[in-house]
Amino acid sequence: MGSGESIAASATAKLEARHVRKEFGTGEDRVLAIEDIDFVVQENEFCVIVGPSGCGKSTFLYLVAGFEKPTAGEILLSGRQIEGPGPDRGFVFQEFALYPWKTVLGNVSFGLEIQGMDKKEARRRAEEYVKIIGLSGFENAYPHTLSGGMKQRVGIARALAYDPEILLMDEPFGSLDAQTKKLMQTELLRVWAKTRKTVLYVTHSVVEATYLADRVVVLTARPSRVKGIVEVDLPRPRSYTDDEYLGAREKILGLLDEEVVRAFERETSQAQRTDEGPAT
Amino acid sequence: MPSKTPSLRVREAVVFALPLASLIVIWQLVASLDLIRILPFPADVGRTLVNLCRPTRGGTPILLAHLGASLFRVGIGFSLAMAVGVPVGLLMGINKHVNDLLHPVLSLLMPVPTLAWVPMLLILWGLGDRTIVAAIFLGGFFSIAYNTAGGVRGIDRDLIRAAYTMGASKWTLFSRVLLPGSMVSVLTGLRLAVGYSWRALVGAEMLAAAGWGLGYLVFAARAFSAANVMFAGLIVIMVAGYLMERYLVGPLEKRTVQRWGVVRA
Amino acid sequence: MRRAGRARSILSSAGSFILPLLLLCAIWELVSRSGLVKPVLLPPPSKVLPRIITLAATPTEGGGSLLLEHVLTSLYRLGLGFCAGGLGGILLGLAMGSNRFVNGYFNPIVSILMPVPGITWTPILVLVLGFGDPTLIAVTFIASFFPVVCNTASGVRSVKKELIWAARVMGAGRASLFLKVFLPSSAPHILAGLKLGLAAGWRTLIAVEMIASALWGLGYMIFDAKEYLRTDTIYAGIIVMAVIYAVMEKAAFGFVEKKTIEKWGVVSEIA
Repeated sequence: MGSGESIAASATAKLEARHVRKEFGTGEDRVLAIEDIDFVVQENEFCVIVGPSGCGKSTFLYLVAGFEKPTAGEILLSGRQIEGPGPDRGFVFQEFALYPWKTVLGNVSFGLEIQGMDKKEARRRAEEYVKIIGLSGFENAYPHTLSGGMKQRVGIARALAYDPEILLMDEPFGSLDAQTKKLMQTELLRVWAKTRKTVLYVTHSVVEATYLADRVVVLTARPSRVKGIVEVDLPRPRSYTDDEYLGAREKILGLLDEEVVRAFERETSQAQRTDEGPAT
Repeated sequence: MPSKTPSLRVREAVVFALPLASLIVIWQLVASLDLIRILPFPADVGRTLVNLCRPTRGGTPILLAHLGASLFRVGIGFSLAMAVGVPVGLLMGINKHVNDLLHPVLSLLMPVPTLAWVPMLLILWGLGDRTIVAAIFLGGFFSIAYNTAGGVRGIDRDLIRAAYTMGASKWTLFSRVLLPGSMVSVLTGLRLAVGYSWRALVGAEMLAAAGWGLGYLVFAARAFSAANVMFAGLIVIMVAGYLMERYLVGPLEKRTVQRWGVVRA
Repeated sequence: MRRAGRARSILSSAGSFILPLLLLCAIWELVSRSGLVKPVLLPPPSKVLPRIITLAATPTEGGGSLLLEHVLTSLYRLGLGFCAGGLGGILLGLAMGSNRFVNGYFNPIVSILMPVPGITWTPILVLVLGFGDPTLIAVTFIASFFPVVCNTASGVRSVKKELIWAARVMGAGRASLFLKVFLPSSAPHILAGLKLGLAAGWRTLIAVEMIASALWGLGYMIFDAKEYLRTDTIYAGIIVMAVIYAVMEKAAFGFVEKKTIEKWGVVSEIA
């Protein structure tokens, strides 16, 4: 993926990462998490990033979200450089991050209220989104009464409610059990189909990536670079078992396996601990 | 959470009261056997208690007047501690520099008994309400500030990131995320402070009151060897303290942190 | 390489603690000298700190240092009171945590008696035990007793069922179960309770020394100083008290915690 392709793709690019580099810490404790990530996400595309543990995929997502700044390189959203967190990028957290003192409706309308929307209007929009995610009837429930899957649905609705330009998702189903995960993946695609928002999704599961993505970006072990990009040009809904799906999955695994082994070997040989940055 | 049936409540009350009743029985036994010379009989103390509650010529029953004075002081002192402690705690939680500056001082001064400040206060203001209220303030302030600061710093980082990502300004973050998010700790701090304030009140009244107050009552009674009055006063102090610690912060907790499921009911 | 790193980190954490204190001392010095507050009320550190030295150097009748005499008297009372309170608290706490009936009987009593300030017990104790050491040690005992009971009991009650079952399955009898499962498991809670008990005991002791005309002891020293308007002694006493407490806490518990909780990786910040 050279810069030549990036320039050609800029026409319909929603998100561009240009030679992004991220270091943490200073002096002897310096850690290079991301060496050079360079790729483009097209508009309306569902793009998934996979990589071995610790490769920096969540770190990269944090850079796009604006929670951290890149050490070098730049990230552009619709041509504008990213300067910090903002409502043009919605974020869905692995641990849901719902506000316990707000009801489901309150959580979903929170973003709208913050951005100055009239309270009644915000409420109405929130109700719409609660319906879209299938939680009608639960508007006044508090998060602690909801199951993991329901909580994440609220998280997704909350991020979509104010119509961001891109939706960032950090292993959103990582805290859920296997069955709920599968159901949620289907749910997510259903909701996504309604708006076709550009999505940048991070996961360590190749199965999940192949099921959801239009394109899969495979990262190397830390310090990460883009190892390869696999197009998954299959119609949805997809099956987990038919040949085309399996073919795509194998392609991705082929790239990933090497890196997983490399990351594992490094972990077992070094007794070093890093404190900075998110877990992956 | 299902509400308790009346019969369950009665049973709970009985189970609670029985051991206390047994204590009174032991007390009676010890007194009758004259094991401790000065110990008054429970019956005498009870009678004194009732007497003190009878209205006098001036109007208010003596005991209530003392109780009122104490409650008045604790009310003001505690409110002040809250009004100053919460903002200071919030500031410490938000701003790293403020925290780094104040934290060592706070943690060094916190274990100092509130009464140790009273001699200073006595020099400053002599006997009377101001000294006592100041002591109460000091008693409650530290725990409120400390717990509030801890509460703010302990907020899930993701909640803060989520707010920023939705476009929250610093002020919005503060008022709509940090404040409710630290509620559990703030309430814990308040609950502890109620206990500390009450303690500070009683001690300060023993040293610095000039006529009214439960602490003063007990202290003076001892000076006159009026054991009955002393015990009566102590019982009132005990019961009032218990009720305050248990029921003052409770309703607030119910409406906030318990409803949000952050704390087990 | 590692040892140098550790030494550096201890130094830097001590530094981050001391530096703000030094800064505050500087501000204190300036405020006192500026005349904003009456000099009597806020003597500057340049007066208070030397006062500590002076008090330490002043001889008593029997020879020996005045300050030391006060401090040792207080520590002596704290030692006896806290040991008794701690021991008693652990015993009752263990009983309450493991036996439903013991808990049912003592719980209401403890709940009612615990919020009673130690100072409040003083008049009764003075009536019964008179002024002097017995009353003070008794008050320290009471103050340190309750936090230990509560934390120990809750520690025992919070032992995970799985751990008990695992031991039973391996054939542990009552005594083994107690010594090898309950005790180590509730160790963090017990230690937290002891920490709280020490703090409560120390605080209450100093406070009661003021009320109970002790003649010797830090609390008495502070209280008595007001008669002569010696605010520098008062502040000196408060500082000494705070420092002693900090040292006690680090020394007494730091060591025990290292050998037990930290080694086992169980959370130590329960208090």
